[in-house]
Amino acid sequence: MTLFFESLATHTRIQLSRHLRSPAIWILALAAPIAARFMLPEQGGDYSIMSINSAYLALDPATIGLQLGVIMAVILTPLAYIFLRAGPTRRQPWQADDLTPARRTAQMLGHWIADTVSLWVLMLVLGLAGVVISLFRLPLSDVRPIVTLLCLCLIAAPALAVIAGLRTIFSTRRGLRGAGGDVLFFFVWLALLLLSSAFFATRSAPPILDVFGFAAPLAGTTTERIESLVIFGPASSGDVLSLDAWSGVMSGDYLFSRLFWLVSVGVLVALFAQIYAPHKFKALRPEIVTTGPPSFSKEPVPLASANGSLISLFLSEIQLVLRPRIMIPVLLIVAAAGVVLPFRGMVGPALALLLTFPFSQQAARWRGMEMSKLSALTPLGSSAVFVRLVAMVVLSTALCLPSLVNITASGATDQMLDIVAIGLGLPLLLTALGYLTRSAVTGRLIALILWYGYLNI
Amino acid sequence: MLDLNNIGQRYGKKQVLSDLTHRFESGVSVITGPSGVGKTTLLRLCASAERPSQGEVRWCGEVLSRTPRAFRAGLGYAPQRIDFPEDITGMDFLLHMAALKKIGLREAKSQGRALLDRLGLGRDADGRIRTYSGGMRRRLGLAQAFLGAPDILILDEPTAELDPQTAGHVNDLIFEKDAIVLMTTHLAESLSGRSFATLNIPMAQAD
Repeated sequence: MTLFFESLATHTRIQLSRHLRSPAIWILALAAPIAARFMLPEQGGDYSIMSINSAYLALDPATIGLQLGVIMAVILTPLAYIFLRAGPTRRQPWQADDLTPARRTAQMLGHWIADTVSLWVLMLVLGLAGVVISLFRLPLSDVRPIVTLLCLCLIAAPALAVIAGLRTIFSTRRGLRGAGGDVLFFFVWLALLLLSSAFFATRSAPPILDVFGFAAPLAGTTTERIESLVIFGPASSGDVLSLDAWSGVMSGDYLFSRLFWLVSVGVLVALFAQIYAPHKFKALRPEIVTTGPPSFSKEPVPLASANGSLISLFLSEIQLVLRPRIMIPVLLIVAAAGVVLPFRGMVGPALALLLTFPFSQQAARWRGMEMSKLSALTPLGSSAVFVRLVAMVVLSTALCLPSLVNITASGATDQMLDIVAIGLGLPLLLTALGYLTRSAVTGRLIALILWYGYLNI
Repeated sequence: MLDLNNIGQRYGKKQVLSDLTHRFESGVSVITGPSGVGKTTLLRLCASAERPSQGEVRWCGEVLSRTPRAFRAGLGYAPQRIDFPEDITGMDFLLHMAALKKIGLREAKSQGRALLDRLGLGRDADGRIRTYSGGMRRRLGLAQAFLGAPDILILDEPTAELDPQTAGHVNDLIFEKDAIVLMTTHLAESLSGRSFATLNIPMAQAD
């Protein structure tokens, strides 16, 4: 048992130090107070961060914590996942980890604890910023730092632990370590949000179903039926709604549900550690069929002249985007369907979904640190990102052309905006995010969330 | 020719190279010295991947930092590590690097295939890079440096991770190249019987 705890402590310490040594977490910690300023606007301002039934929330120390907690649980959980998947710990030293005699349970729990703690550090920075801002939003005598922080932590801490748990659980299975995990996370996140939202319709639901923890205290602390919860929007009526957020988060059922999820996700991580699938050192598919030692040709290598142009690079980009080759017929069939099927609600969402994965992948493929430096030393290195963007825009716009004919013929010109969004906006967003984050995860996840919104127009 | 004029490089408080003057001419120059002395830094300076904090590097008489485009048109550079895009094939990688070097698709295909054959990767050209071993990745990194018709080849540990037989084939390719070739190696014995110049960077150069 002592060995287990020693191993757990070691894995936790190593993973945590990777987080803390990276500038990413400190940049986010610096950004958190600035973000908190916008998350707690003055009442009666141009916008509201959270309005219920078109009314502002009356601010008190608990509501400030609640408001920050709700934003963390709803908006910032995908960003937390991106931070863990695409941040400083995105590449685990699995070649060494998979071969250590350490207990897999200790290893996975260590990763989960460290990831959770790093997210909690950011949460606490946001909470402390909220306390400082409450000095400006509330009469001095009303400021209660402990109440604000407790409200925030009770909502957000288990929610963030769940996110860290999902990341760790996905890292135990081969099919979920890459894009598969990102897609599954999106659906799990959506399902959890919908599950929490069910509270607003049925007030009698047990708080344990509210995994993200934002719905139960809201629904349980007002006698009004919650018809709409708007995050980041105008408060149209200007009414003020009072909530007893403190009693909501301190109710016995709610506290039990938060503890339940914190413990449950730890148990789930430990269970998934039992079915951990080691990484494969060999080919996933028998693509390499070489047998025996490699054969070395003695033929001289011909020289090649640098007489190509940006067109060669453009064609190369197109070729790489359309990998695997099965993408080509699938995209062509969906695009051709645009001649007869409506763009909005059918062809548009299908194209956007199909293009999200190859675009995000290609945008990040050449952005590894060493790869970027190597590309920059080539004659066309400085133009490569621009050519990549143009290639993606040309490809996505070309795929929208059959639908454009349909839209023009049917006079549904309001759908032109959809074509602009998919033809121009999607490549622009994914190229920029791939370039900035050097990873496909951020673009993929943000595009999936936007896609879900588009699907529901 | 490539001239180093009193070059030095400093990272924060750490002086890696100082007052180094040398001329590299056509043929192979092997840079030697103990680990940490600045061999990789020197190659990066010569490849224009970094600017020296002291002195200047000149290419055919022109200061390198002023003529990077002309210099890079004839540069082949293989760093020690490359974080390859794992999900594409070795051939796809070479074709894209060739496009970045302004090589037309047809020439890129024939030269890429020939290079992979020479480096013993011909049968694995259509395998995804994620399935490549360390030695195969090393050779793929070298192959991209040889693309085009480089006037200057800068190779950082080209034979590391390779068995002696494969290292011999790689050295054959390097030594038949009619260009200025700068390389580092810890396996100097694998070069016996070949003609090359040596630049030894003594530890005294570093702090």
